[in-house]
Amino acid sequence: MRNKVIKYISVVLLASSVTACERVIDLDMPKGDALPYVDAWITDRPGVQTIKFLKSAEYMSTAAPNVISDAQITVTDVTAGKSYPFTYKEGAYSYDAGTTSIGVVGHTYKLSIDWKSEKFEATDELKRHSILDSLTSEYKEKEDEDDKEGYYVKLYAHDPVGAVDYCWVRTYKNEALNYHVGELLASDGSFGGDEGISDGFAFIPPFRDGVTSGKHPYEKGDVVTVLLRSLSKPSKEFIEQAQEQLTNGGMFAKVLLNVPANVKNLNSGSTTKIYGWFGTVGEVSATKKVD
Amino acid sequence: MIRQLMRFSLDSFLGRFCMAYMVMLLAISSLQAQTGKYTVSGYVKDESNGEVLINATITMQPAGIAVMTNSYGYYSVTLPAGKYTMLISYSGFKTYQKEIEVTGNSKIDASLSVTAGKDMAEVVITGEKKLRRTNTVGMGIQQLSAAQIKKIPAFMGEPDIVKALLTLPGVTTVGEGASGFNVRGGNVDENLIIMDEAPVYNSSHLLGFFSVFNPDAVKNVTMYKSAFPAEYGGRTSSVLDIRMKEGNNQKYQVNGGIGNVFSRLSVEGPLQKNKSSFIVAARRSYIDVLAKPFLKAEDRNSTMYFYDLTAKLNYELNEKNTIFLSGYFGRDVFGFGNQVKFNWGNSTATLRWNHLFNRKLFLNTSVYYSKYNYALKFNSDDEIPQGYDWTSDIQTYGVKPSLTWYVSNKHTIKTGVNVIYYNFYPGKGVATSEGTKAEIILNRRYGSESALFLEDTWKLNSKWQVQAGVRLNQYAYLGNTTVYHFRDTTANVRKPLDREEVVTSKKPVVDWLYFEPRVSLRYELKKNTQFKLGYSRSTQYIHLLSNTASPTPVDLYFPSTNNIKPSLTDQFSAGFVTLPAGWPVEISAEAFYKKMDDLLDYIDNANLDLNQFVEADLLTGKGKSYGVELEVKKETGKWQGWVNYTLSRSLRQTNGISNNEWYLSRYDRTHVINSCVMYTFNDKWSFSGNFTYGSGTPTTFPDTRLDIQGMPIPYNSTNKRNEFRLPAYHRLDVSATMKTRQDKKFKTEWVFGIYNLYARQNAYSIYFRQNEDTPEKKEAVRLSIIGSLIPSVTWNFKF
Repeated sequence: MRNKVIKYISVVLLASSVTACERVIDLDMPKGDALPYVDAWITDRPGVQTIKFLKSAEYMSTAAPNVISDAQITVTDVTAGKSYPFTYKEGAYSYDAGTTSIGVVGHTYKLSIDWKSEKFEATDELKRHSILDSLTSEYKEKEDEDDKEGYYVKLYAHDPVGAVDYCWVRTYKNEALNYHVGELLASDGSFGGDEGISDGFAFIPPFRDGVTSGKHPYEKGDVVTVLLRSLSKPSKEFIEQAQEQLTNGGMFAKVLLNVPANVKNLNSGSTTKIYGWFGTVGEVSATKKVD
Repeated sequence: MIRQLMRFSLDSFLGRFCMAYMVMLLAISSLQAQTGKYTVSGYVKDESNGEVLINATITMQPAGIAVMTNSYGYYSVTLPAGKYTMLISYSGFKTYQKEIEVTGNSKIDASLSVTAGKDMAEVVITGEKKLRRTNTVGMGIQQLSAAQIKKIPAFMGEPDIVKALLTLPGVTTVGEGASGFNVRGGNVDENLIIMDEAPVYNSSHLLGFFSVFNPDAVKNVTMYKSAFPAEYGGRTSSVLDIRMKEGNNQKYQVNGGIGNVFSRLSVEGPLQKNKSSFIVAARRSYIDVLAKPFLKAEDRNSTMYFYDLTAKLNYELNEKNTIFLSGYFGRDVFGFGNQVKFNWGNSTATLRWNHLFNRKLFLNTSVYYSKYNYALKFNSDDEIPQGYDWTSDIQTYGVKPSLTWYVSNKHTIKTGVNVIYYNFYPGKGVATSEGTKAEIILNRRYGSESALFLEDTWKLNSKWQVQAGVRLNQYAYLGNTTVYHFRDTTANVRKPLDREEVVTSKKPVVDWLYFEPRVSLRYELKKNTQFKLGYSRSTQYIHLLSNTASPTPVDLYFPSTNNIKPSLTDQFSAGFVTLPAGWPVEISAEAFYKKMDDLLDYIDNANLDLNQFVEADLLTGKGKSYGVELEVKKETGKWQGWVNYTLSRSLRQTNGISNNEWYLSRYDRTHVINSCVMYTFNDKWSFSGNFTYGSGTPTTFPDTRLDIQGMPIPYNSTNKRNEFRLPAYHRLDVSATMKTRQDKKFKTEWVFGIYNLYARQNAYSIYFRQNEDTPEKKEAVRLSIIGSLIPSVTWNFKF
């Protein structure tokens, strides 16, 4: 919370100092190792679930990362004692749960990877949903350079009462992730940590307005989808760090820190590592056609 | 509160010992008498306004005995009976000369007048001694007078103490607008900044663009970078001792200035001529008003300003007793309509009592209070009423009696005690939404510091001088709070809570006792050529929790607790200084090596916000820094200035960070060059220029990326921290001063300046992001806080 505020102040201060400037520069970037990592997120939705096992690409390259196809991947519902073997097909590992879903709120899941004769595991718990009330849209005239005329979508949501609930808010425009609005992360409908101070709150204005970019508001006919994903505390911390690294500008930036990984090699003496994250999320979404 | 403080000091063993020690010392020293010798003592003052002169040199010829005035302008010299020529010199003033005959103890108060026809210390032609490297025993001591500070070209035309310090060797910052400063590779919170003895916790206005000290109310600034005198403690990198002006005790005087960013006004004058005086000085910025046309429409209802008020009063009760009362109150205010209200600032108060027991025994007792606090408030004024309120503070109460005993011309002993009581309020948050209210209050934490110090400045013979001191420091983390016990785990992983313990009494939960030697040695090879050696140990018990590039106003100070050990620094230094005959310059070289233990660091993704268990996210590690500082300085004549070069390194090692290897600290600037030139053309015009160059600060770049859920997360596959550097920092500033009216009654001047003359866009940071229009593309972005040259005009007046 403090950092959000201070970031905001530094932005206004820099704007008013007139001469502050940000410039895209050419930088001779170091070339790092291609690290094996997973992008594994299991939801409580029916149908096909997908897990990606990849080799990290150079930071600046526009190419998609290389795929690792020679692994055996299984997801286990530890609570229910069920196993779901994922099979490799067209660049990803998948499992079709049909009309049911792998994910169930309150269950714990384990990801198992067999790769290069070594075994890796990660676990996560699937948490309850936040309450998505509605999306509204409204036409606004141009106010200034940064707030253009167009349709502004607002998100109305609530935090469920009791416990600290973490919610990852993602916005899609015409079915593609809207890059003009960042990833948002709420704790009990607000910014902050585990203090539980805003338990049961309506999502605060930065979330309400955060699904529209003032520079790129929506146009008539756009289909806007807001997806709320419930997160366990470790997964929330992972997304929080990812988000920090993605928006690490300004006077009070933090040093570049590597995001954590939750995939463990079962042979603690081995040096082979798998990076990335295994998360289980409960999803609710709402869609609004702007008209 | 004073009562509380006394209780705490008496509670602790050292506190009780300190009191007994003072009583004993007073008893012994008042019995002291030397036969056949007499003491000449008194105060040295500026004739025009009655301000005492600190570190003026008093020489008794032909005996060649030299002493200096203390921080209150007092001196004491012991001589056999006889005839002497007494000479008193001070930079910018005519040398005072008096033939005296010593037949008994006598008091001689001297008033020095400024060099003919010139404004006080504005132009130094014949002036000689200030506190310079050749008349101190210790090393790493640097002093700036208010007049000097005003001559350095300043950002937005506003003279600034911290900005002036940045032109000295060994003092750096991580970038423009960053708050605080780093000394010899140390963190910002390792500088003890005291204003009339009271600590100041945040030295910056407007984040870091200006410092909180009003130069119109400042008399003298002394910085100690190594071999701190034993009377200072509690911080490990430096001491910045700021003394406020007493106020003119001869006549009323008004000083002021109108500039781009803020205006200043100070009023001073006698309450009773020669006996007492006051000064009140205020500043208020109006950058928000000026910036309004440049702001976006939606930002136009934002407020952003700062103000500060400095006041001081002194009263000479009689020849032996003088009291001083000084205070500071400053605030930064930031707001955005009714939605955001935010303010922060320091307040300090000091009461001092100077007492002369006899001609050889000078006692100063300071009682002080200091508070830093901030308050943050949000309100949403849309359809769902919501609000958030947040407050936090740190308060300090201190008492410091210190006794100077002019034993003989060979020994000056300074001794005393310092008892400090800390009250930390990490924060309270109150949130409301649709009528429901929730609050969280973090436990207050308490700490106390009791120190006893003793230091002897000893002239062994004409060649050798020693300043040997010790400081015995006891720090206690006090109860009346909840004490958290954590289990140890892998480094860089949040420590799990073992148990909570509610401690109801205010007795120490844990305490430490440190013995801190402070020794300086000076050898005079020949007149004005000296070698120096120094060693000092210092410890620190309060820490600024900050894991951003530069500290923010909402960072918390947190005490050493059962989970955070105090940090400890040993510094060794060696130096050389010479004033070559026939050359009006001072050439000096100093080398230092600093070893730091138990420095604070943070786990990745540490949560420092309203976190009851913040100690679980803290790590401690080691540090070292070393370097050489070279300087050539000329402080007399039409051309004045200095050039200095620093070659240094600053490293850290913390288990769990950077593969447990040593890495460069964020403030490592390997090469730093500062040069400042001031030229007095004639009575009307003077010019100055300032050039600074510093290696870019270390930073970490990503070398690969993890694409997770469509997010291109930058990643550093080596896991090593600070392996790269930002581009070098350099900047040239110039300024010209035109004196317009110089009547006896009314003086005015214009100061024209250009900051960053060749409009360099120095990198504050480089960060990485997705291209907004083509998200597949990634880009490196350089942030420059000052992106062009900044002209300024200031009009100063005095009547």
